[in-house]
Amino acid sequence: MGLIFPTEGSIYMDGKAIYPGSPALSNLGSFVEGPGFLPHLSGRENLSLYWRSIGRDGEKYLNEVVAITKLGTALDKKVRSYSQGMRQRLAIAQAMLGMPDLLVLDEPTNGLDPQQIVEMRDVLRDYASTGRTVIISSHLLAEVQQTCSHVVLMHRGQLIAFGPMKKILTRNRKSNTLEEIFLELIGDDLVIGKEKK
Amino acid sequence: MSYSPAKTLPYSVELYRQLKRKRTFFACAFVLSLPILVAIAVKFGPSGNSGGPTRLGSGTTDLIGLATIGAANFTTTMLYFSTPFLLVTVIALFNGDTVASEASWSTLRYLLASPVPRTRLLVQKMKVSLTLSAVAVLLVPLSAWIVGTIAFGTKPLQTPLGATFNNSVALSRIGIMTGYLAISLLFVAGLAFYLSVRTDAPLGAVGVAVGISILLNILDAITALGKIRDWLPVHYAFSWFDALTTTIDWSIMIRGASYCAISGIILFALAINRFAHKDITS
Repeated sequence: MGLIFPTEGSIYMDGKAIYPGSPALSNLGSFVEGPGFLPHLSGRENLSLYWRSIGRDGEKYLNEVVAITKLGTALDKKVRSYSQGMRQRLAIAQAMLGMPDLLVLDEPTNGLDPQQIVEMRDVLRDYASTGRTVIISSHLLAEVQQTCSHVVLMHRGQLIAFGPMKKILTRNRKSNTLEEIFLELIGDDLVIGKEKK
Repeated sequence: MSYSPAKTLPYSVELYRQLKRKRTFFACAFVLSLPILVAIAVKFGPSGNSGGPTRLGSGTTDLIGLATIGAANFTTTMLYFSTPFLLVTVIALFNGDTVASEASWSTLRYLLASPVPRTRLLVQKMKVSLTLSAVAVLLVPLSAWIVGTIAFGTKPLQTPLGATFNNSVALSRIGIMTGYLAISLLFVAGLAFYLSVRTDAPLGAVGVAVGISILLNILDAITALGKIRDWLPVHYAFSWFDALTTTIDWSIMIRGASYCAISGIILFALAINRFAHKDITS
C-alpha cells in the first residue's frame, strides 16, 4: 500500500512492483484501518479534493460512487457531523473513485447496520463483476463466505488454506461454514487469526 | 486511466484545504487584532498621563513610548510586540500542524497510498504553510499601518536613537524590518515542520516548537553564557532594530538572517529525510 516498508519480500501487481509511492498504486483503491477525511469539509468536497490530489486522469465515476454512499443531502454537510457508518460508506466510495482495477478493503462492514451490510455486499459483488478485483480482509468469516469467490485463510501470520470458496467449503470435512472450517484447521490454537478473500 | 506524480496534491488544492480550516482564520484574526486592540487601549483606556497625547509607555527614547506618534512608529512598535511570541506561535501553528493533523485525521495514509509521493507531499505542504506564514507576517505591518493612520495619522518615523525618517524612507525601513523578521522566523517554521513529521499529535508539534523557542529565549537572556548565545537562532530575533539607524548596519542582520535561514532549511531537509523512511501507521 506504500505506507510501510517491508522487512522482507516484495509485492507485484500486474507485474509492476509495489513499494511506497510506486506509480502502480494509482490503479489501486484502498480502505485501511478506518476512514480518513478532513472533518471541516463536506463529504462532497472531500471526494472532489481527494480526486484532485491523487494525480489521476480519466473518468472518476463520481455519480456512481456517490450513489454507493447513500448519503443523500448529508453529502453536503461537514464530515465532522457524520456517524461512523456514514464515514465508512464515504471512505469505501472514495476508494472506488476512478474505478481502479484493484480494491483493497480492510473490514469494510465495520460499523454498518445489517441492511447496510447487505447493500455493501451487493456493491462489492457488482464492482467485482465488472472484471475488477476486490480484496477484503476481515474477521467476519460468515460475511466473507457470503461475499467472496476466493479465500485465503491466515492464522498468526501463517497461511493455512487458500483457493476458490466452493472448493474450500466442500473439501470433505464435517464442517460446512467457513467459520467452522477455520476453527477446525487451527485446532486448539488460540483464535487470533485473520482471514482474507 | 493515467497517473502523473507531478499532478498530485496541487498547490491550490492544499491551499484550499488549509484555508477552509477555522484554525487558519482564527490565527489570522489573532494577528490582525493586535494593532486594533493596542490602538483602542491607547485611545480609550484610562490614561495615567496628565495632559498631552496619550502614550503607550512613559519613555521617549524607547519604541513603546514613541508608538503613538504616527502610523510609522505604531507599525514599528507592533513589529516589536509581535516578534517574540505572537508570530512565533502563529508560524509554529501553520508549520507544526500541517502534517501531524493529516496523520490525526487519517487522511495522510490515503494521500500516500493514492500515491502522492512522500517528498512531493511534504514540499507541497511546506509551500502552503510558508505562504500562510508569510501572509501572517505581512498582516502585522499592513494592519498596523492602517490602524495607526486612522488612530494617530501619518507622521514621520521617530526612532529611539533620535533619528527621524519621512514616510517613504520609513516605509522602506519597515519593509526591511518585516523582511528580516520573516526570514528570522524560518528557524521556528523549520522546527515546527520537522516536529510535525515526527508526531501524530498536531498541537504537540506546535507546543513543542513554541516551547523550544521560549527555552532558547531564556538561554539567550542568560548573559553568563556569553559567546554561546551568538549560536542561538533566537538571539537574532530583534536584530531588525539595526534598520532604525540613519545608515543601516547590515552586518548583524545578515548574520542573523543567514543563520536562521540555514537552520530552518536544515530542519526542513531533516523533515523530508525522516518522512521518506517512515512507516505510516496512523
